[in-house]
Amino acid sequence: MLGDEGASPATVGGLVDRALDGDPEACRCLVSELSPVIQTRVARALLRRRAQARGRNLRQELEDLVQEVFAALFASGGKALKAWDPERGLSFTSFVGFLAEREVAMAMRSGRRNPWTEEPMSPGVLGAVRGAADSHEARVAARQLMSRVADRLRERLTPLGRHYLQVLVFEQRSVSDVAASTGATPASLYAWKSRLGKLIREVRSELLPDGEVHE
Amino acid sequence: MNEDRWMKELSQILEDEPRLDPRLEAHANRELSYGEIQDLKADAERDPELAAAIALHDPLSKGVQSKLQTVIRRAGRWRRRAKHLWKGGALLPIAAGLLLYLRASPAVLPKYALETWAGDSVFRDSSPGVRTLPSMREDSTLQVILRPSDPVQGDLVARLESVQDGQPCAHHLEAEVSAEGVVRWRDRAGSFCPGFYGRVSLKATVALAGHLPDEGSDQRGWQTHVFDVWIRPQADDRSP
Repeated sequence: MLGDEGASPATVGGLVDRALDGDPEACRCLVSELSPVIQTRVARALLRRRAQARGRNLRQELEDLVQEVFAALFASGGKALKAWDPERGLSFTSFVGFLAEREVAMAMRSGRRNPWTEEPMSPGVLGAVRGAADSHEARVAARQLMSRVADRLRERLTPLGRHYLQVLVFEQRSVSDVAASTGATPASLYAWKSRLGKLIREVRSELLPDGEVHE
Repeated sequence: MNEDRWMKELSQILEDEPRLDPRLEAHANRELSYGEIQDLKADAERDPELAAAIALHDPLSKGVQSKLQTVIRRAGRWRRRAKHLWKGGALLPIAAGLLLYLRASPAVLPKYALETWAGDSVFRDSSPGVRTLPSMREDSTLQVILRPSDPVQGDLVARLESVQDGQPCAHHLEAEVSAEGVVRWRDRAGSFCPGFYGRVSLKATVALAGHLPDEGSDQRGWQTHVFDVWIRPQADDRSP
Protein backbone atom coordinates (compact mmCIF):
# COMPACT_ATOMS: atom_id res chain seq x y z
CA MET A 1 0.00 0.00 0.00
CA LEU A 2 2.81 2.41 0.83
CA GLY A 3 5.21 0.83 -1.63
CA ASP A 4 7.14 3.03 -3.96
CA GLU A 5 4.36 3.35 -6.53
CA GLY A 6 1.29 3.26 -4.31
CA ALA A 7 2.00 6.09 -1.92
CA SER A 8 1.08 9.72 -2.21
CA PRO A 9 1.26 12.40 0.50
CA ALA A 10 -2.54 12.27 0.72
CA THR A 11 -2.71 8.51 1.28
CA VAL A 12 0.14 8.66 3.79
CA GLY A 13 -1.46 11.57 5.65
CA GLY A 14 -4.86 9.83 5.69
CA LEU A 15 -3.41 6.57 6.94
CA VAL A 16 -1.37 8.29 9.65
CA ASP A 17 -4.44 10.21 10.82
CA ARG A 18 -6.54 7.08 10.92
CA ALA A 19 -3.87 5.26 12.90
CA LEU A 20 -3.56 8.12 15.37
CA ASP A 21 -7.34 8.10 15.68
CA GLY A 22 -7.05 4.51 16.83
CA ASP A 23 -8.05 2.63 13.67
CA PRO A 24 -6.50 -0.85 14.28
CA GLU A 25 -6.31 -1.69 10.58
CA ALA A 26 -4.38 1.53 9.83
CA CYS A 27 -2.04 0.82 12.77
CA ARG A 28 -1.38 -2.72 11.54
CA CYS A 29 -0.79 -1.53 8.01
CA LEU A 30 1.69 1.15 9.06
CA VAL A 31 3.58 -1.19 11.35
CA SER A 32 3.87 -3.86 8.68
CA GLU A 33 4.91 -1.36 6.00
CA LEU A 34 7.32 0.75 8.03
CA SER A 35 8.90 -1.63 10.50
CA PRO A 36 11.16 -3.53 8.01
CA VAL A 37 12.79 -0.37 6.66
CA ILE A 38 13.20 1.04 10.16
CA GLN A 39 14.56 -2.25 11.43
CA THR A 40 17.19 -2.47 8.68
CA ARG A 41 18.36 1.11 9.29
CA VAL A 42 18.58 0.53 13.03
CA ALA A 43 20.38 -2.76 12.44
CA ARG A 44 22.88 -1.04 10.16
CA ALA A 45 23.56 1.64 12.78
CA LEU A 46 24.06 -0.98 15.49
CA LEU A 47 26.38 -3.05 13.33
CA ARG A 48 28.49 0.01 12.63
CA ARG A 49 28.92 0.54 16.35
CA ARG A 50 29.23 -3.07 17.36
CA ALA A 51 32.63 -2.44 18.94
CA GLN A 52 30.97 -0.16 21.48
CA ALA A 53 28.31 -2.72 22.46
CA ARG A 54 30.20 -3.86 25.57
CA GLY A 55 28.27 -7.08 25.91
CA ARG A 56 24.83 -5.61 25.44
CA ASN A 57 22.08 -7.65 23.82
CA LEU A 58 21.98 -6.10 20.36
CA ARG A 59 18.62 -7.62 19.45
CA GLN A 60 17.03 -6.02 22.50
CA GLU A 61 18.71 -2.72 21.65
CA LEU A 62 17.33 -2.99 18.13
CA GLU A 63 13.77 -3.57 19.31
CA ASP A 64 13.97 -0.67 21.75
CA LEU A 65 15.37 1.66 19.12
CA VAL A 66 12.71 0.66 16.58
CA GLN A 67 10.07 1.63 19.15
CA GLU A 68 11.81 4.95 19.77
CA VAL A 69 11.86 5.68 16.07
CA PHE A 70 8.15 4.87 15.77
CA ALA A 71 7.39 7.18 18.68
CA ALA A 72 9.37 9.99 17.03
CA LEU A 73 7.71 9.50 13.65
CA PHE A 74 4.18 9.62 15.07
CA ALA A 75 4.77 12.43 17.57
CA SER A 76 2.93 15.73 17.04
CA GLY A 77 0.24 14.23 14.85
CA GLY A 78 2.72 12.40 12.63
CA LYS A 79 4.28 15.66 11.51
CA ALA A 80 7.55 14.01 10.46
CA LEU A 81 5.81 11.46 8.22
CA LYS A 82 3.47 14.05 6.75
CA ALA A 83 6.48 16.12 5.69
CA TRP A 84 7.22 13.61 2.94
CA ASP A 85 7.25 15.22 -0.49
CA PRO A 86 7.89 12.85 -3.43
CA GLU A 87 9.00 15.84 -5.49
CA ARG A 88 12.19 15.85 -3.47
CA GLY A 89 13.19 12.56 -5.00
CA LEU A 90 12.75 10.02 -2.21
CA SER A 91 10.16 7.28 -2.18
CA PHE A 92 8.11 7.10 1.01
CA THR A 93 9.99 4.10 2.35
CA SER A 94 13.37 5.71 1.60
CA PHE A 95 12.17 8.84 3.34
CA VAL A 96 11.17 6.81 6.40
CA GLY A 97 14.56 5.10 6.28
CA PHE A 98 16.27 8.47 6.19
CA LEU A 99 14.25 9.73 9.18
CA ALA A 100 14.92 6.50 11.05
CA GLU A 101 18.65 6.74 10.48
CA ARG A 102 18.76 10.30 11.68
CA GLU A 103 16.67 9.50 14.73
CA VAL A 104 18.87 6.55 15.65
CA ALA A 105 22.04 8.59 15.21
CA MET A 106 20.64 11.29 17.49
CA ALA A 107 19.48 8.76 20.07
CA MET A 108 22.88 7.12 20.11
CA ARG A 109 24.81 10.34 20.30
CA SER A 110 22.67 11.80 23.09
CA GLY A 111 22.84 10.47 26.59
CA ARG A 112 19.60 8.59 26.07
CA ARG A 113 21.20 5.37 24.95
CA ASN A 114 24.19 4.10 26.78
CA PRO A 115 26.51 2.44 25.90
CA TRP A 116 26.31 4.03 22.47
CA THR A 117 26.89 7.57 23.68
CA GLU A 118 30.13 8.88 22.29
CA GLU A 119 32.94 9.12 24.76
CA PRO A 120 35.19 12.14 24.46
CA MET A 121 38.40 11.30 22.66
CA SER A 122 41.22 10.99 25.13
CA PRO A 123 44.22 13.34 24.90
CA GLY A 124 46.32 10.33 23.96
CA VAL A 125 44.10 9.56 21.00
CA LEU A 126 43.98 13.20 19.94
CA GLY A 127 47.75 13.34 20.15
CA ALA A 128 48.01 10.27 18.02
CA VAL A 129 45.64 11.69 15.40
CA ARG A 130 47.64 14.90 15.25
CA GLY A 131 50.98 13.18 15.63
CA ALA A 132 53.66 13.11 12.99
CA ALA A 133 54.38 9.42 13.28
CA ASP A 134 52.36 7.09 11.12
CA SER A 135 52.21 4.60 13.97
CA HIS A 136 49.65 1.87 14.41
CA GLU A 137 48.16 3.85 17.29
CA ALA A 138 47.80 6.93 15.07
CA ARG A 139 46.08 4.92 12.36
CA VAL A 140 43.64 3.37 14.82
CA ALA A 141 42.90 6.77 16.34
CA ALA A 142 42.39 8.35 12.93
CA ARG A 143 40.06 5.53 11.94
CA GLN A 144 38.09 6.02 15.14
CA LEU A 145 37.79 9.74 14.48
CA MET A 146 36.74 9.15 10.89
CA SER A 147 34.04 6.73 11.95
CA ARG A 148 32.58 9.44 14.12
CA VAL A 149 32.84 12.01 11.37
CA ALA A 150 31.11 9.55 9.03
CA ASP A 151 28.32 8.99 11.57
CA ARG A 152 27.71 12.69 11.87
CA LEU A 153 27.74 13.15 8.11
CA ARG A 154 25.18 10.36 7.75
CA GLU A 155 23.08 12.08 10.37
CA ARG A 156 23.15 15.46 8.67
CA LEU A 157 23.04 14.61 5.00
CA THR A 158 20.11 13.47 2.90
CA PRO A 159 20.75 10.68 0.40
CA LEU A 160 21.15 13.37 -2.27
CA GLY A 161 23.69 15.19 -0.09
CA ARG A 162 25.61 11.95 0.38
CA HIS A 163 25.66 11.40 -3.36
CA TYR A 164 27.12 14.85 -3.93
CA LEU A 165 29.61 14.28 -1.13
CA GLN A 166 30.81 11.19 -2.92
CA VAL A 167 31.09 12.64 -6.40
CA LEU A 168 32.08 16.25 -5.70
CA VAL A 169 34.26 15.89 -2.61
CA PHE A 170 35.64 12.38 -2.47
CA GLU A 171 35.89 11.59 -6.18
CA GLN A 172 36.58 15.25 -6.96
CA ARG A 173 34.70 15.07 -10.23
CA SER A 174 34.30 18.37 -12.02
CA VAL A 175 31.12 20.37 -11.58
CA SER A 176 30.43 20.29 -15.32
CA ASP A 177 30.79 16.52 -15.38
CA VAL A 178 28.41 16.07 -12.43
CA ALA A 179 26.00 18.62 -13.90
CA ALA A 180 25.92 16.68 -17.17
CA SER A 181 25.27 13.36 -15.42
CA THR A 182 22.71 14.56 -12.85
CA GLY A 183 20.94 17.43 -14.63
CA ALA A 184 21.66 19.75 -11.68
CA THR A 185 22.72 23.30 -12.49
CA PRO A 186 26.41 24.18 -12.07
CA ALA A 187 25.45 26.98 -9.68
CA SER A 188 23.63 24.57 -7.36
CA LEU A 189 26.56 22.12 -7.51
CA TYR A 190 29.06 24.83 -6.61
CA ALA A 191 26.79 25.67 -3.66
CA TRP A 192 26.71 21.98 -2.68
CA LYS A 193 30.47 21.68 -2.91
CA SER A 194 31.03 24.68 -0.72
CA ARG A 195 28.38 23.57 1.80
CA LEU A 196 29.81 20.04 1.99
CA GLY A 197 33.35 21.28 2.54
CA LYS A 198 32.10 23.52 5.32
CA LEU A 199 30.13 20.66 6.88
CA ILE A 200 33.16 18.35 6.96
CA ARG A 201 35.27 21.08 8.56
CA GLU A 202 32.52 21.75 11.11
CA VAL A 203 32.07 18.11 12.02
CA ARG A 204 35.79 17.58 12.29
CA SER A 205 36.30 20.60 14.49
CA GLU A 206 33.43 19.43 16.73
CA LEU A 207 35.28 16.18 17.31
CA LEU A 208 38.81 17.50 17.19
CA PRO A 209 38.34 20.96 18.62
CA ASP A 210 41.59 22.78 18.11
CA GLY A 211 43.57 21.37 15.32
CA GLU A 212 43.66 20.10 11.80
CA VAL A 213 44.65 16.61 10.90
CA HIS A 214 48.05 16.84 9.35
CA GLU A 215 51.14 14.90 8.66
CA MET B 1 47.95 11.60 7.96
CA ASN B 2 47.59 14.09 5.17
CA GLU B 3 44.34 15.63 4.03
CA ASP B 4 43.99 13.58 0.83
CA ARG B 5 44.53 10.30 2.61
CA TRP B 6 42.18 11.35 5.37
CA MET B 7 39.41 12.14 2.89
CA LYS B 8 40.02 8.89 1.03
CA GLU B 9 39.66 6.85 4.19
CA LEU B 10 36.60 8.78 5.23
CA SER B 11 35.09 8.00 1.84
CA GLN B 12 35.84 4.31 2.34
CA ILE B 13 34.21 4.32 5.75
CA LEU B 14 31.09 5.92 4.30
CA GLU B 15 31.13 3.45 1.42
CA ASP B 16 31.52 0.49 3.76
CA GLU B 17 27.93 0.87 4.81
CA PRO B 18 26.12 -0.74 1.88
CA ARG B 19 28.27 -3.84 1.91
CA LEU B 20 25.76 -5.75 4.00
CA ASP B 21 24.40 -8.84 2.34
CA PRO B 22 21.37 -7.76 0.27
CA ARG B 23 19.48 -10.82 1.49
CA LEU B 24 19.36 -9.29 4.97
CA GLU B 25 16.92 -6.57 3.98
CA ALA B 26 14.77 -9.11 2.16
CA HIS B 27 14.87 -11.25 5.29
CA ALA B 28 13.64 -8.38 7.46
CA ASN B 29 10.85 -7.84 4.89
CA ARG B 30 9.88 -11.54 5.12
CA GLU B 31 10.59 -11.87 1.44
CA LEU B 32 12.93 -14.86 1.60
CA SER B 33 11.65 -18.37 1.10
CA TYR B 34 12.33 -21.06 3.67
CA GLY B 35 15.12 -22.44 1.46
CA GLU B 36 16.73 -19.03 1.06
CA ILE B 37 16.70 -18.50 4.81
CA GLN B 38 18.40 -21.87 5.31
CA ASP B 39 21.07 -20.88 2.78
CA LEU B 40 21.62 -17.59 4.57
CA LYS B 41 21.98 -19.34 7.92
CA ALA B 42 24.37 -21.88 6.42
CA ASP B 43 26.53 -19.01 5.17
CA ALA B 44 26.37 -17.42 8.60
CA GLU B 45 27.89 -20.52 10.16
CA ARG B 46 31.08 -19.73 8.27
CA ASP B 47 30.87 -15.96 8.80
CA PRO B 48 30.35 -14.58 12.32
CA GLU B 49 29.78 -11.06 10.96
CA LEU B 50 26.92 -12.33 8.86
CA ALA B 51 25.54 -14.27 11.82
CA ALA B 52 25.47 -11.08 13.90
CA ALA B 53 23.79 -9.24 11.07
CA ILE B 54 21.14 -11.93 10.62
CA ALA B 55 20.30 -11.74 14.32
CA LEU B 56 19.44 -8.09 13.81
CA HIS B 57 17.47 -8.69 10.61
CA ASP B 58 15.27 -11.54 11.82
CA PRO B 59 11.70 -10.25 11.30
CA LEU B 60 10.14 -8.56 14.31
CA SER B 61 7.96 -10.87 16.36
CA LYS B 62 4.19 -10.44 16.70
CA GLY B 63 4.77 -9.21 20.23
CA VAL B 64 7.08 -6.40 19.07
CA GLN B 65 4.70 -5.50 16.25
CA SER B 66 1.91 -5.27 18.76
CA LYS B 67 4.06 -2.98 20.91
CA LEU B 68 4.65 -0.76 17.88
CA GLN B 69 0.91 -0.47 17.33
CA THR B 70 0.60 0.56 20.96
CA VAL B 71 3.28 3.22 20.39
CA ILE B 72 1.18 4.67 17.54
CA ARG B 73 -2.03 4.55 19.55
CA ARG B 74 -0.29 6.22 22.48
CA ALA B 75 1.01 8.98 20.20
CA GLY B 76 -2.56 9.72 19.17
CA ARG B 77 -4.18 9.62 22.59
CA TRP B 78 -4.44 13.42 23.11
CA ARG B 79 -5.78 13.86 19.64
CA ARG B 80 -8.47 11.25 20.29
CA ARG B 81 -9.36 12.76 23.67
CA ALA B 82 -9.73 16.21 22.14
CA LYS B 83 -11.93 14.82 19.37
CA HIS B 84 -13.99 12.87 21.85
CA LEU B 85 -14.53 15.94 24.04
CA TRP B 86 -15.47 18.04 21.05
CA LYS B 87 -17.90 15.47 19.71
CA GLY B 88 -19.42 14.95 23.13
CA GLY B 89 -19.98 18.67 23.48
CA ALA B 90 -17.81 18.84 26.57
CA LEU B 91 -15.73 21.57 25.03
CA LEU B 92 -18.75 23.76 24.34
CA PRO B 93 -19.17 24.92 27.97
CA ILE B 94 -15.44 25.60 28.10
CA ALA B 95 -15.61 27.64 24.90
CA ALA B 96 -18.69 29.48 26.20
CA GLY B 97 -16.97 30.16 29.51
CA LEU B 98 -13.97 31.52 27.71
CA LEU B 99 -16.19 33.78 25.62
CA LEU B 100 -17.96 35.03 28.73
CA TYR B 101 -14.65 35.61 30.44
CA LEU B 102 -13.40 37.61 27.48
CA ARG B 103 -16.60 39.60 27.32
CA ALA B 104 -16.53 40.21 31.05
CA SER B 105 -12.91 41.21 31.09
CA PRO B 106 -12.44 44.82 32.17
CA ALA B 107 -13.34 47.37 29.50
CA VAL B 108 -10.90 50.19 29.22
CA LEU B 109 -11.82 53.80 28.53
CA PRO B 110 -9.18 56.13 27.10
CA LYS B 111 -8.04 59.00 29.29
CA TYR B 112 -10.47 61.91 29.24
CA ALA B 113 -9.61 65.61 29.78
CA LEU B 114 -12.04 68.15 31.13
CA GLU B 115 -12.62 71.41 29.33
CA THR B 116 -14.94 74.07 30.78
CA TRP B 117 -16.12 77.02 28.74
CA ALA B 118 -17.49 79.80 30.86
CA GLY B 119 -18.59 82.46 28.39
CA ASP B 120 -15.44 83.17 26.41
CA SER B 121 -13.05 81.80 29.02
CA VAL B 122 -11.83 78.25 28.79
CA PHE B 123 -10.52 76.22 31.69
CA ARG B 124 -8.80 72.91 31.22
CA ASP B 125 -8.15 70.44 33.98
CA SER B 126 -4.52 70.30 32.98
CA SER B 127 -4.10 74.10 32.88
CA PRO B 128 -1.72 75.10 35.66
CA GLY B 129 -3.43 78.50 36.11
CA VAL B 130 -6.82 77.21 37.12
CA ARG B 131 -7.05 78.15 40.72
CA THR B 132 -10.00 80.50 40.94
CA LEU B 133 -13.52 79.40 40.32
CA PRO B 134 -15.01 80.44 37.06
CA SER B 135 -17.69 82.94 37.92
CA MET B 136 -20.46 83.55 35.50
CA ARG B 137 -23.88 85.04 35.18
CA GLU B 138 -26.77 82.68 35.04
CA ASP B 139 -27.55 83.72 31.47
CA SER B 140 -23.99 83.11 30.19
CA THR B 141 -23.29 79.92 28.31
CA LEU B 142 -21.52 77.17 30.20
CA GLN B 143 -20.05 74.28 28.32
CA VAL B 144 -18.62 71.22 30.03
CA ILE B 145 -16.64 69.05 27.64
CA LEU B 146 -14.97 65.71 28.27
CA ARG B 147 -12.51 64.95 25.49
CA PRO B 148 -10.88 61.49 25.06
CA SER B 149 -7.22 61.04 24.21
CA ASP B 150 -8.19 58.47 21.55
CA PRO B 151 -11.43 57.79 19.72
CA VAL B 152 -13.66 55.47 21.74
CA GLN B 153 -14.98 52.19 20.37
CA GLY B 154 -18.43 51.22 21.62
CA ASP B 155 -21.37 52.99 23.16
CA LEU B 156 -20.92 55.60 25.87
CA VAL B 157 -23.11 56.89 28.63
CA ALA B 158 -22.54 60.25 30.36
CA ARG B 159 -23.96 61.73 33.52
CA LEU B 160 -23.67 65.20 35.06
CA GLU B 161 -24.51 65.71 38.72
CA SER B 162 -24.63 69.14 40.31
CA VAL B 163 -24.62 69.81 44.02
CA GLN B 164 -25.19 73.02 45.91
CA ASP B 165 -24.64 73.20 49.66
CA GLY B 166 -24.52 69.42 49.74
CA GLN B 167 -27.91 69.09 48.08
CA PRO B 168 -28.31 67.61 44.60
CA CYS B 169 -29.80 69.93 42.00
CA ALA B 170 -32.48 68.73 39.61
CA HIS B 171 -31.60 69.66 36.06
CA HIS B 172 -32.65 68.54 32.64
CA LEU B 173 -29.36 68.71 30.81
CA GLU B 174 -28.70 66.08 28.17
CA ALA B 175 -25.21 65.18 27.06
CA GLU B 176 -24.26 65.23 23.40
CA VAL B 177 -21.86 62.42 22.48
CA SER B 178 -19.89 62.60 19.24
CA ALA B 179 -18.85 59.60 17.15
CA GLU B 180 -15.30 59.93 18.54
CA GLY B 181 -16.57 59.86 22.11
CA VAL B 182 -16.42 63.59 22.95
CA VAL B 183 -19.07 64.36 25.58
CA ARG B 184 -20.54 67.81 25.92
CA TRP B 185 -23.13 69.54 28.13
CA ARG B 186 -24.01 73.02 26.96
CA ASP B 187 -26.61 75.43 28.29
CA ARG B 188 -27.17 78.58 30.26
CA ALA B 189 -25.13 78.47 33.47
CA GLY B 190 -28.33 78.82 35.47
CA SER B 191 -29.64 75.57 34.01
CA PHE B 192 -26.92 73.54 35.72
CA CYS B 193 -28.53 74.08 39.10
CA PRO B 194 -31.84 75.84 38.43
CA GLY B 195 -33.01 78.28 41.06
CA PHE B 196 -29.77 78.47 42.98
CA TYR B 197 -26.87 80.87 42.92
CA GLY B 198 -23.42 80.64 44.41
CA ARG B 199 -20.97 77.75 44.37
CA VAL B 200 -22.13 74.70 42.48
CA SER B 201 -20.09 71.51 42.30
CA LEU B 202 -20.36 69.68 39.02
CA LYS B 203 -19.44 66.04 38.68
CA ALA B 204 -19.19 64.83 35.09
CA THR B 205 -18.96 61.11 34.53
CA VAL B 206 -18.39 59.23 31.30
CA ALA B 207 -18.51 55.46 31.00
CA LEU B 208 -18.68 52.66 28.48
CA ALA B 209 -22.27 51.45 28.26
CA GLY B 210 -23.03 49.23 31.24
CA HIS B 211 -19.92 50.35 33.10
CA LEU B 212 -21.13 53.23 35.26
CA PRO B 213 -19.64 53.23 38.79
CA ASP B 214 -22.97 52.24 40.37
CA GLU B 215 -23.12 49.31 37.96
CA GLY B 216 -20.18 47.78 39.78
CA SER B 217 -17.72 48.26 36.98
CA ASP B 218 -13.99 48.27 37.26
CA GLN B 219 -12.72 51.87 37.25
CA ARG B 220 -11.07 51.33 33.90
CA GLY B 221 -14.57 51.47 32.37
CA TRP B 222 -15.49 54.93 33.66
CA GLN B 223 -14.03 58.35 34.62
CA THR B 224 -15.29 61.24 36.68
CA HIS B 225 -14.20 64.87 36.72
CA VAL B 226 -15.31 67.24 39.47
CA PHE B 227 -15.06 71.02 39.41
CA ASP B 228 -16.78 74.01 40.96
CA VAL B 229 -18.35 76.98 39.29
CA TRP B 230 -19.78 80.19 40.82
CA ILE B 231 -23.09 81.18 39.36
CA ARG B 232 -24.47 84.63 40.01
CA PRO B 233 -27.76 86.24 39.15
CA GLN B 234 -28.21 88.02 35.86
CA ALA B 235 -28.33 91.40 37.53
CA ASP B 236 -25.18 90.83 39.57
CA ASP B 237 -21.94 91.65 37.76
CA ARG B 238 -19.64 91.09 40.72
CA SER B 239 -17.15 88.29 40.95
CA PRO B 240 -17.11 86.22 44.16
